[in-house]
Amino acid sequence: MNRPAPHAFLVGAVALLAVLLPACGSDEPAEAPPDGSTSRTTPAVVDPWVRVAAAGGNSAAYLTLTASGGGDALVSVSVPTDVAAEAQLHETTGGMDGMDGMDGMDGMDGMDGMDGDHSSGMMSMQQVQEIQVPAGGSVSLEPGGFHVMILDLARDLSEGQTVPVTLTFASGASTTVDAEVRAG
Amino acid sequence: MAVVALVLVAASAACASSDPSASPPVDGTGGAEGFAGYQRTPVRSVSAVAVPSVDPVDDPGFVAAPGGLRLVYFGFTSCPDVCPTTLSDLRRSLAELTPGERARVAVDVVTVDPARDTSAVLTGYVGAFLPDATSHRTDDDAVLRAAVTAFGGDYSVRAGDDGEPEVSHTGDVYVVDDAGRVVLAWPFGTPAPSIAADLRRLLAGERPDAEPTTSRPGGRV
Repeated sequence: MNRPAPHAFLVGAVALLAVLLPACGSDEPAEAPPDGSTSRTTPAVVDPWVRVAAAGGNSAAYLTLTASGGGDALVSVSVPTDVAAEAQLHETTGGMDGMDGMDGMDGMDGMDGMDGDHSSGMMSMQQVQEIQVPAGGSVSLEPGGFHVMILDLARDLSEGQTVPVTLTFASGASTTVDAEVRAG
Repeated sequence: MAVVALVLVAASAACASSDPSASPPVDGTGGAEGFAGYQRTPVRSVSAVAVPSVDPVDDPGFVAAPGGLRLVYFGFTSCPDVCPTTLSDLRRSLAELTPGERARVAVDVVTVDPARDTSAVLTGYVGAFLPDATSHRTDDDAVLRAAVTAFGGDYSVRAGDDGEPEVSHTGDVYVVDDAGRVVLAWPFGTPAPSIAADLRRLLAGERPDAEPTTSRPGGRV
């Protein structure tokens, strides 16, 4: 009988994992002090851009956040007041792959229900409190998903311009990036 | 040693979970006979519905000109994400057509948020994407509801927690032929080149066979 051997290996394996996993770079505490200290690595912002839109209307900003170290969460966003009145974190849900956007949609008495003869699903948009950036991973703000909604533009956004977008994270860190205005 | 090697692989895999392409692209599958768009069963007719166009001199309803196609989209202008993405995709796809093909395709945009989308706001917004598109709006919700339902779509406008209207709507673009039939629809996220390829085939007279049973095109992706 050689039964104990696999257990021994297993114990060794778990121990080894415990040693190796922190080497991934997430050696910072999960809850960093919210003091905005720069000792913590702020998630990198990749390819920020804003959609062309006219004054008085709304626009959206898109980007990818990559956390090389510990995870973080994007908790607020802003643009200068000479660009727009407000910026918010939003998520678009629904669409082709189901009825996600239908959740909690009361007050739709006029609907004849989801009788299978309906469209592939309505799309809607909700404000979100935060967007998680997983440790060692990334999250994309992209059309049809998470995005920065920019409300009540103070001026036209035209191709070739840039818009400063300030991102603030749960860790307290914040960063300002120049987002390129694109036709999308 | 084999187990140790395995553990090392597992540990390094845990480090490499940052695939930037992790979110799957929406490929618009739903596929009717190789088309990127989908077709409903039975094929819908929209020749009996209309929403007034903002410019009254050109109000052809939703039936395409002989040999042509109309692309119909229901949206709203305060929509910062879905609507502009779709209209940009349409603009790009139409730019891929030859002038002869392009001349046979009309675009119609109908607002589902007429309270905020005045005629001026609507035409300015739509025109920024597609200068030759026809904008439609009505304050009569029964008219709008009948039109959207005829296409197989849906929408709702209700007051949100902050008092601002929250609008939900079907994100599909519908293709109507010269008999008033909805011959194809593209879900949100269908890439512009796929839309252009579908348009070329439709303009050449090809039609997707109706899907046999499913009423949920494409299923979950």
